[in-house]
Amino acid sequence: MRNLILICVLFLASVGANAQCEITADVCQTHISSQYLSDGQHYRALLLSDQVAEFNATLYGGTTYRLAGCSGTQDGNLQYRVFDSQRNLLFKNDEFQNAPHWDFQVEATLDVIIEAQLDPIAGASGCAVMLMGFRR
Amino acid sequence: MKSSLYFLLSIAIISVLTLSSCGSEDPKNMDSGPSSESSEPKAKASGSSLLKVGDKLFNLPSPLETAMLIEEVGGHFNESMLNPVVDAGQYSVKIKQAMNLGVYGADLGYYLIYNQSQKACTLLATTKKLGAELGISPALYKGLMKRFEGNMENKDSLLIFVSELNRLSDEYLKENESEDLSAMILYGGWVESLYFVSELSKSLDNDALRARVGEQKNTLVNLIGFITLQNSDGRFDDILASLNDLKASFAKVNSTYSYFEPETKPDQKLTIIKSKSSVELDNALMEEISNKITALRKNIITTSAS
Repeated sequence: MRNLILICVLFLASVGANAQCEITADVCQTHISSQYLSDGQHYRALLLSDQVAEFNATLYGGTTYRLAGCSGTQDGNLQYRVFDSQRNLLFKNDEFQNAPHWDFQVEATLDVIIEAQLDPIAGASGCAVMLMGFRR
Repeated sequence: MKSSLYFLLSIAIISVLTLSSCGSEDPKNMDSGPSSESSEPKAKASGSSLLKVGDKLFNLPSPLETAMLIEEVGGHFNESMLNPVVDAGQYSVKIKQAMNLGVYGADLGYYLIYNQSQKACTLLATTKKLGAELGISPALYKGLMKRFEGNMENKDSLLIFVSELNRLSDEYLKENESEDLSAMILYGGWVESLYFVSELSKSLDNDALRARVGEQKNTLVNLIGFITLQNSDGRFDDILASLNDLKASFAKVNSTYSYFEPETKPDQKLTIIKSKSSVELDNALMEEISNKITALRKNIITTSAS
């Protein structure tokens, strides 16, 4: 009986979180305009308090990428930082009012690490969604 | 017993409400956390299936990016490179269906880049069947097919539709706890696009093509990481063994990277990344990688009737 109840609890929590992720994804998709092609992938992570989601990517030279990062139902709830493979900071959106999207014009191919976390004033937990688009 | 049941159900409801309200319209009412500049070590987020812990997120470049490069360097349309369209029913195992959905997704992009929209439309019907076998909602494809048929002459629109279909399929699978299938789709698409480049390189000696192969060194590491996360039951052991063998070849690629300070233009919401990089691989290594990619692809596309 106890196991059954626990399963119910986890199921309900999971359904709620999934529903929230879907809404956040819809909000985030509006930032990948028709000028950009989606990379075809959907990145999401459940973030609690000061947890950080880490996201590894390769960006090709000669391409401009648009990175969109969202949490909740409005813009500006997610902070993200882009590092190169040597951990040099390339960009952080908290210098620009947590801009929900930013473009990166890449001159030569590089591997990057993107770290995302909730803005502490925006909430204690939430579903973080990151989307990437590109154009040549 | 009843009271503990009510207690646990209350926790469940509170959990749902907490998660649903995290994007509150009124940030001032939310708990304050540590500063973003905190030097405290950060905990890793739970993964995208929401109940796992310690996952990383991995990105693989879109096969469309490679198809665009092939067109840019002057590669001619070569249909013989593509996986022949077969009855989707010949891929009877889910893993195989997912891998070939990835392969056909890359082929679809290749058709569109070369303005072969009619052939792309035919292939889309096959991908719809494979998607349905994997449980991807037919409604996703139905809407897209209509938009596709109404824009057959507009290459840019078709590319947007296809990239959007790929993203929605990925989202659907991840929401339905099928990340293993999502990983196999990415695997199939990655192998197919690398196969295009290695095949074209046999007839066209081009630095950009060669570089694109070498640049897969880290992408392969990401791919292995993603598949490993889905391999708790060992069913991807064979695939991972093959990919690790390929990784050993990629380890011989000479790559350099030099950091240069990026330039940010806030008015354009743009950062120009000026770092420099290079990759070098000789003919022998190119052939070694190409042979391994061809073998991986053969394993993927072989049907149960073969």
